[in-house]
Amino acid sequence: MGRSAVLELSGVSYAYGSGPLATPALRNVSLTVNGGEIVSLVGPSGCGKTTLLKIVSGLLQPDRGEVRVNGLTSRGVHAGIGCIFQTPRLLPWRTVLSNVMLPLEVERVSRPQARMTAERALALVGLKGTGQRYPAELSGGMRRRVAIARALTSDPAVLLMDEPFASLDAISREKLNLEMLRLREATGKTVLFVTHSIRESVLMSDRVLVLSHRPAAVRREVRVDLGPQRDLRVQDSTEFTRLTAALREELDYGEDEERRRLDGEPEEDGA
Amino acid sequence: MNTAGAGPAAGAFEDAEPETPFGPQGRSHHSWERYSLAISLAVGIGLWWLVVAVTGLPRFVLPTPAEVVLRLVDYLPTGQLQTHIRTTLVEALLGGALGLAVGLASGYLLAKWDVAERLVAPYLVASQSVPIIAFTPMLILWFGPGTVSKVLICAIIVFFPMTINTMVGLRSVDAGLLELMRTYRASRWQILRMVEIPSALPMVFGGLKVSGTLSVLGAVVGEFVGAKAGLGYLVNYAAFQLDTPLMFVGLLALVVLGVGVFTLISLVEQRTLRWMARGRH
Ligand SMILES: Nc1ncnc2c1ncn2[C@@H]1O[C@H](COP(=O)(O)OP(=O)(O)OP(=O)(O)O)[C@@H](O)[C@H]1O
Ligand SMILES: [Mg+2]
Repeated sequence: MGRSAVLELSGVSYAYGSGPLATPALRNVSLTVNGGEIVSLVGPSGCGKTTLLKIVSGLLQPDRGEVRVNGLTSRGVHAGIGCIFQTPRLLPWRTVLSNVMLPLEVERVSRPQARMTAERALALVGLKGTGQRYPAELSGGMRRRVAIARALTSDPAVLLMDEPFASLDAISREKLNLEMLRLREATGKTVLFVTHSIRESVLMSDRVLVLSHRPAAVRREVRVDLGPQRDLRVQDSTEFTRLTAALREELDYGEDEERRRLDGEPEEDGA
Repeated sequence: MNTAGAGPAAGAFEDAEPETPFGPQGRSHHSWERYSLAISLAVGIGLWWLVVAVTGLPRFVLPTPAEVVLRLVDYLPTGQLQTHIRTTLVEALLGGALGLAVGLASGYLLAKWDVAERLVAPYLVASQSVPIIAFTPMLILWFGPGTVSKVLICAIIVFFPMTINTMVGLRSVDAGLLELMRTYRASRWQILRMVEIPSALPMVFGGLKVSGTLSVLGAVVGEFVGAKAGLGYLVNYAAFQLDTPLMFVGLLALVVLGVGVFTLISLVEQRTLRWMARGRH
C-alpha cells in the first residue's frame, strides 16, 4: 500500500434537501488519506463530520465534486469499507455474537469460520463471554464495543469511524485507543476517524483535519509527528502538549469567528 | 451426601445456558395464569347457574350448565360434533393461510411501492367499510355452500389486518439498520431476510392474533348463511330445533376453537420473539 492515496475527495459539496430549505453540510471539501494512515476529523458539533463520512463511504452521493476510493468512483457504497456509526446500530433480535457475525454472514462466510472470527473480535474489545446476551442486556459502552468488534470482523481495508469511543469510560477508551494503534501497526489499515476529543485525535492519528462550522470545509491540517510506534506515554511529551494546544486554539478561534459572523451586525447596531 | 449434592449445584451455578434465568420466571407466571383462569371459569359458571335458578327460565331459553354437559355427553358418541369442529377448523385454517399469504405479499408491495398504495388503498378502505356478512350470500351463490366459499370468506377477513400490519411493520424498520446493511453491500433479499422481516415480525404477529380469531368468525358467518356442516351450521340447526343445550354445546366448541387458535399463535409468537422479553428486567 505504502503512500499511495486510498481516499481522495476533490471539491466535494453536499446539501440536505433542495431549494430555499436546503441545508448545506459540506462546502468544497478536498482531502486525501494515504494507505495505512490514520486521519482524524475534528470540528464543532453539527458541522458535517458524519455527512462527510457518509459521502466517503458512498452512502450519500456528493452534489458536486468527486470521491475516489483506491482510485475508483462508485454510484453506491464502495467496496472494502467498514463503517462504525455514531450509534451502535445493533440488531436487537440477534445475540451479541450473531450481531458481530452479521457482516460475514452477508459475505457468505461459512458459519464456523464466521463464529471463530467473531469470537476473536469480541475478545479483542474485551467482551469475551457476552456472546449469548442480547443488545438490550448490555450497557451503552458495551454496545459500542460490539459495534467496533463487528466492524473488525470483515477486515475492511478502510475504516470510517464516527466517534466510536464516545461515552466510553476513560479506561476502556484508552485501552481501545491502544488497541487501535496496535491494529494499525499490525494490519496497516487506513482509518478516517471522527472524534470530539482533541487528545484522542493527536494520540491516534498521523494528521488531524480541523473542520469549520457548517457547511464544513477543511480549515486547517495539522501533521502529528510522534513516530509510528506509539503508546499512551506520548501524551506526556512536549510535542503532544504543543499539538493539543495548537488544535484547541484553532477550534476556539473557529468558535470566536463563528460567533462574530452570527452576532456581528446586531452588536454593531447596539454599540 | 454433601459431595453428591455439590456436583449438580456447582454445575448449575456456572451454567450459562440462555434459557435458565427465564425458566423459573416463566413457570411461576404460567401457574398463576392457570389458577386465575380456573377461578374466572368457576365464577362464570356459578353465575350462569345462579341466573337459571333465580329466574327459573325454561330449558329452551337458558339451560343450566349441567344440562349442557349432559347434552354434550349425549351428543359426543354420534361423532357429529367432531365433524362440525373439523369442518370449521379446516375452513378457518385454509382461509387464514390464504389470507395470510396474500396479505403478507400485498403488505410488502404496499410498503415498497408507493404507487401500489395509492392505487389499492381506496379498495382496501372500501372493502373494510362493508361488513363481510353482506358479501357472504354472494360468495355462497358463486362458489356453493361447500368449503370453497367459507375459505374465501376467511381469507378476505384475514387479508386486511395482515396487509396493514405487514405494511406498517416493514415501514417502521430502523433506517439506521438499513444504512448499515447498505455498507455491507447486502442484496435486497439479504436485507429482507436479516433486517426487514425480523423488524416487522412483532407487527405481523399482532395482525396474526387478530386475524386468527377473525378467521374462525368468518367460517361461522359463512356457515350461518349456507352450509351443510360446521359449528355455525350446528348452532343454527340447534336453534331451529329449539335444542338450546345443543346450541350451547356448539357455542362452547366455538369458544374453545377461537381460544385455541389464539393461544397457538401466541405460543409461536413467544418462541419467535423471545428476544423481546430479554433485557426487560
Ligand atoms: N438527514 C438530514 N436531513 C437534513 N439535515 C441533516 C440531515 N442529517 C444532518 N443534517 C444537518 O446537516 C448538518 C451536519 O450534520 P452532521 O450529522 O454531519 O454533523 P456532525 O458534524 O456529525 O455533528 P455531531 O458532531 O454532533 O455528530 C447538521 O446541521 C444537521 O442538522
Ligand atoms: Mg456526527
